[in-house]
Amino acid sequence: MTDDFYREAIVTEARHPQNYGPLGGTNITQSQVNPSCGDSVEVYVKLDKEKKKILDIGWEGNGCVVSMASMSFLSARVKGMSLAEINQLGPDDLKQMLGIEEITPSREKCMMVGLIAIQKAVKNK
Amino acid sequence: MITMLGSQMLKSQFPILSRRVNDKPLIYLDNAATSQKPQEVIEAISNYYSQHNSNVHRGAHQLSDESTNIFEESRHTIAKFFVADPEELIIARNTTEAINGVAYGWADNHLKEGDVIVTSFMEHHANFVVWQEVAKRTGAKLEFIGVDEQGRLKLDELEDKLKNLPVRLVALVHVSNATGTVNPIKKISKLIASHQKETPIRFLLDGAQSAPHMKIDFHQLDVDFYAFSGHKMLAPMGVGGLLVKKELLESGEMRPWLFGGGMIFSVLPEETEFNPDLAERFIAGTPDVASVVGLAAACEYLRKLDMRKVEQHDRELVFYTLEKLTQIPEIKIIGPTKPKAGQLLDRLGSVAFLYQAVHAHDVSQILDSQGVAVRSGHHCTMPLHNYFGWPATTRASFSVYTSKSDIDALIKGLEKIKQVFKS
Repeated sequence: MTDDFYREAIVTEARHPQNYGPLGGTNITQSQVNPSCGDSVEVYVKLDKEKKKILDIGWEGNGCVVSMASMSFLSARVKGMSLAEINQLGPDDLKQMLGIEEITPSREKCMMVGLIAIQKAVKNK
Repeated sequence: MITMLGSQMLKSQFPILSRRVNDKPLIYLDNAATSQKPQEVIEAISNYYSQHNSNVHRGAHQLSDESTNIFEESRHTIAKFFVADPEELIIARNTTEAINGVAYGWADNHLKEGDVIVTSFMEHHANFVVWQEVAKRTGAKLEFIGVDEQGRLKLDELEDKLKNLPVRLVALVHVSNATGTVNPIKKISKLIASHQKETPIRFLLDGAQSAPHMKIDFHQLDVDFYAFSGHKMLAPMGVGGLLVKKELLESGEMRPWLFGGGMIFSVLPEETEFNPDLAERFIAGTPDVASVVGLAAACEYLRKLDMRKVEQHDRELVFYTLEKLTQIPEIKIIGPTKPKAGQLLDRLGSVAFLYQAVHAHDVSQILDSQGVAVRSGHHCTMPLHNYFGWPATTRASFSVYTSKSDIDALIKGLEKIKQVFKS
């Protein structure tokens, strides 16, 4: 299973992440950490006028391959999504984005750090 | 090498070390988190339950007498291992509970607003958060000693605080679980002694990582409190102890912090008199006798190995690991690497490091895929990691059964990281 995480696609995604960096003109910034291993992310979210949809997103972070790749895939996925849809996302969606079938409880926390940040962000809109 | 223990032979006495992980032989280098248990310890526990189990100090029947005797003998064995008097040993679940015992049984009764507790940025959360809470409850102020680039305590900061502040407690780690630093306890004791005032300054030592790796002589150490965990020194989980200087127990300065059965002498509706027996005063409720028996068996096992040889063995492993890791350019070792002039390197038990641009969690998982178990994260030392700006570190830690070939497996395992992160 370990080798699944360290497939080239995931490592490359983590090393060359999408939507990385701060974003100007955003509505919300939200940070989130995974205290068990020190992963941290900060997300910058731009909403539409009605505050129903994510128009754009940027993020910065520090962490393991799983947390960074997961955040990167997720940042691409949530653009244009409604807040209701974002709240529906869960671990299974992230596993699908990463292309893995199983994950250990400790790595699940890494995988979830980005999603928790985004969901918190839209809740505090 | 002659100074090392026969680790291959010792390995065969630890049943778990013969299992496989991820289809590879297990290389267990997470001993600072918990050590494995030898057959002798496992059998001592099993034998207690299959032959002697009964409550202690209560019944007048054969089994209860046997159980009481075994319990008392075990307490004596453990105290002797630490060169403490049996009544100086309070059984606790682990180091964390032992330190909390000092907070509730000593600090809460003696500290008041304006008093100062000194701890350091090197501490495990067990010796940090407890004092934050005591400060909240009593109004005492918490002061911190810094750490230098080689992972050593800045003793001039301690001296400064002792000189200028109403310090009542100094609470420090003996051997750091993150940097491996062995703190100079004699020097610190002397420093404290030379600043003693009318109201004494008490000294607590967190011995979680020193008890498994070096000979502890409680009387010679001359500290007021020494806390340790059994499970890091080959004993079962859930048992450890707090050593308390006898004068603090006799004077009543150290009070029991758990109340109930066993620890009493007489109970009246208006008032309860505590057990005059210093040891029993601190045993509220039925103790975990089997684990105490297991801890005694572990102490015996280590005594037979000879703790001075255990320390020498550990030093060899530390040197070997440092030597090998410094050859990998991507690795930055944390903690002491250079001995002070004319001294042995003040480091024991573990070597933790940062791997350039690769998160510690990835390092440990790639090692795990090759059967090598190490720890990654902040090792319950968040203040230290924040102090130096380390997001997380990877730590290899040792025990009596660790061999140089285990370190070789670690080094070989690290080679795979380069392959995975080649982009």
